[in-house]
Amino acid sequence: MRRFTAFLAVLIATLLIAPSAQAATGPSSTRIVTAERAAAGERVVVTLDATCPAGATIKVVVTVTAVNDTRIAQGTRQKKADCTGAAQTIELRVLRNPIGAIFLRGPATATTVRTVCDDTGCETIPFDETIRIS
Amino acid sequence: MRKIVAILSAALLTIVLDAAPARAAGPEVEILWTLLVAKGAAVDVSYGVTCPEDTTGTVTVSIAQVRDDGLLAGGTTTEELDCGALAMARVTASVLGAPFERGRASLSMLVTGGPPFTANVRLTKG
Repeated sequence: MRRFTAFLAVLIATLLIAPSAQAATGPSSTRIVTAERAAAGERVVVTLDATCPAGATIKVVVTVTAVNDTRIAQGTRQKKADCTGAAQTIELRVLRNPIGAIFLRGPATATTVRTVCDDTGCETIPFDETIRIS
Repeated sequence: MRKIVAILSAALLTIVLDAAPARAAGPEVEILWTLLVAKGAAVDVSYGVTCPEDTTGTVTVSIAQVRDDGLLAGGTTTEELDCGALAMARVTASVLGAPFERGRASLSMLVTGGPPFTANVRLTKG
């Protein structure tokens, strides 16, 4: 009987406790400024403008996807930086996934997932944008 | 002790029964348009989900396409559920497949608390 009571109590407690809320780390943003083809299409050098609250840290994970004839070229790179509170430039060398094609010049899509952390916790925000590889 | 068990059982039953109607109603999905992005590197899916405002969860959107040349294109993305608002999900083509092209494709969505949703859609140039 005690086991059953304990089981019920744990079950109810689990149902009543809500998942922890996301921390509010303040406003942040990212935007890709340039994406340059390099090393004969083996990589794309991405520069992005990031803004986040001073004292916080930011981690960006950028995935670039583009078409190469009937195949897909894709690569992902991540980088961390200390936030200054003003717009700051972050450069990433995005190497292509060897399973896919090489990058060509032209339109592409980029997904930037930024994780901003401060004393209160972390906030993760994904952002899609259409870019041009030059 | 029996009283405690009875109270706990009643509380548990109340919680389960309270949750049941919301689950039964389920979210409703509406697809507005599906646009090709960056020559088929991705597809923007515009959609709306009708569900109670306080509902939380995720929306997983998948697109699969057999192209005219027989190659397969496909991709999946997962977004946070935003009930009642017009939302957009960008489905990026898998590196293992081909780019998306104009024409028919199969779209499927999985919304927290709802049954799987599938539809035939037409991918158009953005």
